[in-house]
Amino acid sequence: MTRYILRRLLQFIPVILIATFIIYAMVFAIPGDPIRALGGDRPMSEAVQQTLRDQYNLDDPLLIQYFKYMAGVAVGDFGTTFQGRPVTDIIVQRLPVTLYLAFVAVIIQIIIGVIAGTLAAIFRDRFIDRLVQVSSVLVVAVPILAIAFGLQFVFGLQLGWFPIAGIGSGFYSYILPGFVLASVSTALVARLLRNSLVETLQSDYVRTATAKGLKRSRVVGRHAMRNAMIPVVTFIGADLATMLGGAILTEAIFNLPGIGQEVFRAIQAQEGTVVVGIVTLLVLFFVVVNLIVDIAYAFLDPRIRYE
Amino acid sequence: MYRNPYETHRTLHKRLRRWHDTVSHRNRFTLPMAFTAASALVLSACGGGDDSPAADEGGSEGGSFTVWNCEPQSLTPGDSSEVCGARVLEQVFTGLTEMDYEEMEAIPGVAEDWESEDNVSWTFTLGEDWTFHNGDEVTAQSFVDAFNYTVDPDNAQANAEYYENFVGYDDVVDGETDELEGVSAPDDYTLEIELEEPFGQLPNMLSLVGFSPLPEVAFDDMDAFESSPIGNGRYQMDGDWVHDTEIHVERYDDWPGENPGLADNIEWKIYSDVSTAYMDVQAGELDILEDVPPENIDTMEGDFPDTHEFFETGTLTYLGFPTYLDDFAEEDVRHALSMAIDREEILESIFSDTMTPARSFLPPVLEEGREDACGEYCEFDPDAAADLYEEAGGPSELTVLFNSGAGHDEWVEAVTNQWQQHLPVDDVSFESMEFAQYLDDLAELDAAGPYRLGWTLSYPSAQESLEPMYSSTASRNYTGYGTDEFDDLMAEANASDPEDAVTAYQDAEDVLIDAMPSIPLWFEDQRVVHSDRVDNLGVTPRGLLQVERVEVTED
Repeated sequence: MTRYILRRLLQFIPVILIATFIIYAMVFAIPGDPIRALGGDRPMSEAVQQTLRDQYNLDDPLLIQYFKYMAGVAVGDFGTTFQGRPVTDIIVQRLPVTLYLAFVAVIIQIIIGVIAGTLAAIFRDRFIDRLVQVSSVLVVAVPILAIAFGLQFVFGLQLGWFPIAGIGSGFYSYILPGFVLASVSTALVARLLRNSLVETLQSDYVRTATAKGLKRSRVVGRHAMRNAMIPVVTFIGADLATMLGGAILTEAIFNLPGIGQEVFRAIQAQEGTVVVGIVTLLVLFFVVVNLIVDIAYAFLDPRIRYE
Repeated sequence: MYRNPYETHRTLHKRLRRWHDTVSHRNRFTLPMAFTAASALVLSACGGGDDSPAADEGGSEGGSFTVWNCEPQSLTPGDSSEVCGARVLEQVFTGLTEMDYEEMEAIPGVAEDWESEDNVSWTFTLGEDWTFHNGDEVTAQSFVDAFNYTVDPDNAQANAEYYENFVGYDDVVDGETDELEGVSAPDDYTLEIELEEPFGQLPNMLSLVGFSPLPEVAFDDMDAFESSPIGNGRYQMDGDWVHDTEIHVERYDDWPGENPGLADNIEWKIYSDVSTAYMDVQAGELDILEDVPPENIDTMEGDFPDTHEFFETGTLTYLGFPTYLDDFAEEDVRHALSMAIDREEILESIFSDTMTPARSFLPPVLEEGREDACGEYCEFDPDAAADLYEEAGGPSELTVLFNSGAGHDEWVEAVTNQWQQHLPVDDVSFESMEFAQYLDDLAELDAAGPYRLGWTLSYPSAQESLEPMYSSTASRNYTGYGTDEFDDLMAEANASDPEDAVTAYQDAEDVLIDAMPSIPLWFEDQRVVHSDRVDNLGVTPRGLLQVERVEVTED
């Protein structure tokens, strides 16, 4: 197992290198001069623009720019925005917000999704099953913007239970956006788990367990659930990684200063260093989460072993 | 906040649709982002520090309020050229002059008095009781040092170009020296400025934050300074600038000027999405939103029956012509295109009539501005337009350009439809591109057709609304237009004293109208909504809320 993890960790290095280069190249390829656009409808003087272009190596060819950037990274300098704000500062400020949001969303997803999915599987074809099926289709079908606005309007504006925007109220601030971010995935988790559990409950080993006279709760909880959860864990793992980078819309609507919005802004402003810094971090998250998911398999299903 | 349920449902539906349009269809995001320190669970409105006795006396002084802002690009005065930063910096710093927005004239700031014989050599006499928020005295040297820092290209300050008329600017930009030859401080309270060309509008220009004084401590580490700038303005920073989140200031009681700020505390909450801020005002979590987004216009009167206001600004939206192309080289082609636009219809159908149709280059909010300076050329007259277009040999195909993702799609399309309908043309199309690429094409004089641009007055002056775009030497003249006649009239107006300048600038404007290098479309009206805790709102021609005069009426 340790060797397996080590090998996987070593694989991160080329993945990260390739990712940084591809991202850098893509930002580089966006047409237009970002420095001229910096001043909006009123560009700065030519001398100032030139100073900035030199400062950010924008006149260099792609490879030179990239190597200069990586040389900085090697000594711990992750670059700055065009306004001179260090990328590390931005990450330190924004990452916790995004992590918190993703964490809340995953918790919601697990609690509601797993409960709904399990109940639906146990009471298969009964009312509760139908209810879960219909409501999950509904949630997936409604655009996320509508969900966000609806929640904001009802629970924020009309009832006043939760803040409409911002993170000023700590945990309360994350509940509405957490629900929005989790909504579609929760529905998918419920459906995924239901189907997987229904299938598992019909398998031979579960029948054996039942025949041995084990209690129903033990059969479902210990024997069936562990197998049925494998696809769900895979899904939640992938989803968590997506949430960390893809919460742009939710962050914007609820005014949460997270990572997603900054990536969006930086891409528009063509700030290569910022985009690369943050996206690389996200890539890192993605591979780490994947590794954790793979390791989790081994615990869920003893037949899976890593050499 | 009780409403009838039908109304609520309808508003919800309406807003939903618009929201969807905004984000997915037009893909329009406001870039800066942040959060608000607000809890709907806390019933009381945002307060804190409201224990000032003055608030009880007349409701005019004291108290605190929250106001919307976007994330500033910078809080270094010399490097702040956009409005998000200016909202804060205009309060934290006071320059040599300030603007009286009623009279539209420069009034004393740190400078008590100024004089110039020829509008070339200027002498400013500074007040002696001005201090920075850290207690340091504000002297003429504070200005000299700040000016030199701002111009030095090594510091890459966005406002450097405003100094280009100062003697020695070119030498500093070329790196030959670090100090502007034309700025000197013969003693602590006298500042002398020497210009290359006579410029009677200098006192107006000096009200810009880019001409603020800096305390000595700033030069030790400008990046650190920026996170909590120490200025000499009505308000001082209360804590650090919390990026994308909030900026707090408190009144600086030792500010020696005429009109100190009224409220004790001002709290800017930084939002990423203006519609979210709008909802926060509805929920009572935010006191003032000074720029209601277009998608909320229709519901604004219903949501805020007594607390919404409109203010005219000097911000002009226009269509520029690439006069360097044969297709648009004829003045009458440009006139015809202007006459074929029904401004009223576009404003009514797209902006719910909340903009002012422009029939002049000079904004009517300025003293020089004449509402109908343009005459027939800005009047919708499809028949005359078609005849004129035919006669002048206008192109049979044209493409209107605009930058994407900034909410211009709808009205640009409306303009192309009107041209298609009213002019003898085969095909009018429109094309959008990312802003950076768009500007490249404009700046390199490589635009394929009329293009959309906007112009905000950094300081209220007729010069500022004409010269940067139409003078033959201006770097932002993307039209290719440039005539000695216009340049000479501008120079003449710039050389006049303010009282004589009015007609001089109008003469220059008349030349522009005859040539029409661009079509003025409309001046932006700012739509403000607020809570009933605040009163006495005003907006400058640049579109900035005058937070210093806002009165908090209840705590």
